[in-house]
Amino acid sequence: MAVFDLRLRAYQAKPGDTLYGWVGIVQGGKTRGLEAELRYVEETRSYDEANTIVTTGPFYVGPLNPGQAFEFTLQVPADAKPAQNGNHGRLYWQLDLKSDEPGFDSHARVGVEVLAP
Amino acid sequence: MTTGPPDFGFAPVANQFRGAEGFSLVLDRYELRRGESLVATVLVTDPSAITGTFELGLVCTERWADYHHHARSDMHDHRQTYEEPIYQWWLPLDRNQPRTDLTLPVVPEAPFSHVGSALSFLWTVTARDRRSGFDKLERHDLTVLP
Repeated sequence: MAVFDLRLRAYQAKPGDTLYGWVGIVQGGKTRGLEAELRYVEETRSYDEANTIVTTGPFYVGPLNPGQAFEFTLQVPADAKPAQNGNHGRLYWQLDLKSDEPGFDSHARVGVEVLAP
Repeated sequence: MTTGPPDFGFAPVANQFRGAEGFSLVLDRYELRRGESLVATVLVTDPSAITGTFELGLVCTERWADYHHHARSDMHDHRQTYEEPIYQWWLPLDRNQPRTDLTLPVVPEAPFSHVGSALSFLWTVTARDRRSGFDKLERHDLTVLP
């Protein structure tokens, strides 16, 4: 299972902005596809679901070696809504870096604050 | 042999159900941003048909899904959806006023509309004649933008 150091140039964005990401490999492995997803998560006590997902698509396939690094960009949807808390759940944006691997996939996740228009 | 309307098994609910009688509700807009206002117009056509508490409400309902796991029973695990008002503001109406125009502000801190699969926030404006048994009501969906 790979371990990543995931960073964004900015963790706050407006709808339509571009997010610039950087990922460093801390612990290596082998990936069938490394990709980043920006997800608008609907979280309740039982569920984490996202119906709005923006993805880079796989940007790297192959061995992951410590010290390697990759850059990527993702565009925040023009109609993106901000985060919101309810009494029984919340809505929020999350950037999920996902490495498709045999067995469990490896992930690194950071929160992104999308500002109200 | 009996004749008449088909019976789909909804009685007595179907027999008691009434749409709004004696009044109607119109909004000047059905989409607005937080911090903006809308005007709701209630027209009373038959005051005698309104016998309960007559009121107008601006309501945001939170709808959420939970998963129920039944490890020690015969019940199947299942997903269940619940809903509960997260914001509501009710104003009294006078049934003897043929027309009432009310300005309803949506405060900037209010939740915005979101229709999801696990979590939704749904806004409505409702005029109702609240009484024991079935309320008579007219309801309109509203989209509140962030």
